[in-house]
Amino acid sequence: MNFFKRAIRYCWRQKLRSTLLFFIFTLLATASLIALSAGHATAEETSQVKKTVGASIHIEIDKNNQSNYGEGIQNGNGVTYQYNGDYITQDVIDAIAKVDGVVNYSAQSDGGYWGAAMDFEYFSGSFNIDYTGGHGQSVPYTVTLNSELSSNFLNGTYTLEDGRHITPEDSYAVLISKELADKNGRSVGDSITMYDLDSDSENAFKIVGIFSGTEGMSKDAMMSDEIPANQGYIDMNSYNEIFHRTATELGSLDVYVESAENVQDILKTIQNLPELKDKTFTYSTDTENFDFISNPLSSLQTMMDTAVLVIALIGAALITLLLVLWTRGRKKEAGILMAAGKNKREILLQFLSENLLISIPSAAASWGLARLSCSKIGAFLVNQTSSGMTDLHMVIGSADLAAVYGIGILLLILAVLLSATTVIRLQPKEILSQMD
Amino acid sequence: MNLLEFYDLKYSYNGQQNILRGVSGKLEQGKLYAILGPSGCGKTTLLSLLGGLDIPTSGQILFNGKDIRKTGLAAHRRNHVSFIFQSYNLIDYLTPMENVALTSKLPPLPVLERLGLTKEESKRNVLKLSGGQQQRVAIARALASEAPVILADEPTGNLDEDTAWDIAKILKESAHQMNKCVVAVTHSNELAKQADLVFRLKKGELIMQ
Repeated sequence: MNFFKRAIRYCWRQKLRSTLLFFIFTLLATASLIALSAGHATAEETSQVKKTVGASIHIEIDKNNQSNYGEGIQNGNGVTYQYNGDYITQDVIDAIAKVDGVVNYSAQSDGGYWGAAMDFEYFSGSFNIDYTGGHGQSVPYTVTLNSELSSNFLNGTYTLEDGRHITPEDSYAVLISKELADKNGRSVGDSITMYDLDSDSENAFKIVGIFSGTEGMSKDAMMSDEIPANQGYIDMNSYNEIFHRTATELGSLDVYVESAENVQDILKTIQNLPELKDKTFTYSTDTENFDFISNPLSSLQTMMDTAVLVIALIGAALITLLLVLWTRGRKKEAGILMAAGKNKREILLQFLSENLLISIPSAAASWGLARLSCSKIGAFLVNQTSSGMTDLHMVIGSADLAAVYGIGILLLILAVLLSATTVIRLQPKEILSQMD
Repeated sequence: MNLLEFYDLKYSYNGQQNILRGVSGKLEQGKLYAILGPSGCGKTTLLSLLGGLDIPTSGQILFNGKDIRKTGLAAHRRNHVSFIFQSYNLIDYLTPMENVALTSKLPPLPVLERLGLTKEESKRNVLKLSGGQQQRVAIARALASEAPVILADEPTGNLDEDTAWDIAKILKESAHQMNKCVVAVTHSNELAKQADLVFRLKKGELIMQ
């Protein structure tokens, strides 16, 4: 009878030992597969986040540097200083727009334009003071290159209900709230006319879009300019024209890049553009959204990597301990086999075969178990993290299977060799003398 | 013809206590030999040396005229000798038939039946057999092997008188009918009575009676 037949009989007839080992192998392999799969899923998710969650670069003229200001000019209100540094011009914007990875850009000036309603009506506050000389109360408008990238739209406070957003190409375009549009019976394509005190001009704007989100935000407003439903967005070109600015000269620009992964590289490229190099600009990056999502993911990945290592170490120790205990009890058997002419290699192969025979159904069971529990574990991990991700797509890949079973078999072989030394290192006479 | 010869075998533990002091003998096929002697006189040690389980301090053991150390002790154990132990030493997760099959490629059942085990008993767990039945399985395992020498260490030591008598007869029949050289170390007079030749090991020396 060869070692393999003996191994089969041993596994079959030592049912308690075989069952215990089967459960241990299955549990360890399942836990390893899940941890490995979760680790990979987390890494994949992080990579996706890097690709899909954008970041932005904020470019601003350096107003804090005294050397960018000329000598003070005395006037009736005291001394004023004129900024003599560089502005963000159209050339700068065009150069930035061509950089690989830049998906959009926007500049805005909150309250850059104050308009009094000429042919429509604002919602009234508790107090209304007309300081426009009979044109009614003025309301602030945000001047923007790209209203879609305005923070209120990005963070979901406002939603475009009808029409489109303001783009850099627009001229005399306006976005108004749905509440204001409804109050005045205006819709996309209609016009509104406003009076601006600073430029002392009447300006007609075409409504290109209507947004919602201001509902319920007008409570306790003292003045109509504090009521969000009255406030809107106008384009940058009309602003320049109204204020007779011959060229675009922006104080700041937000540049949006396609992924947070390479925001630093894009920033370096932008800083080195000839149109920007040595200009008096300051730069900062914003990866808040990416960090919000990716930091918990990184923690989860570290946790999973640690789990794999801990499972492997504890598993190897546990299996070795059990096998050592069991093999020490098989000295007599080894002695009998040696006396029957079997050599040590054959005995070792039998011990190894027994464990490998149990590991085969364990591998199948762990694969099934890991697959079954993947979605639940994934959902559990998603719930445990504050990353904002909605799904962790855990898949038991062939690479994971190969890694777990490959390393598992190696550890098993080592454990069997280690445990078998308690018997194999003895001479036949020593074993037989301990038998009787 | 002499199958197993041993000359001037000496054995000592750590070079101090002399267990064997120059033991010599010649053993033939087809005979049952009994080695008697008080406990601790070196009977089992002599058996271990003859079976290639241990190495003598000095002296020579020949199988068919060849030094077993030159043939290789593992090969000697595998091809030339089989053992029967006092405590049977059966593998407990194997049936009697499978225990016999450990040493033989021949069908084990005829050997077991010849030694008095039924077919049903031969398929039972060995631990569910009586002591006598277990020793019969151990003898069947030794007989089924192709080894011409059977070395039995106290084969009747754990058995009652009647069973010991049966086992002694089986060993004698095995030697005579199967042309085996059976060497039994024993305290049993019944076994000694069945032996063709009886040796007594006394103070490290082997004396033929």
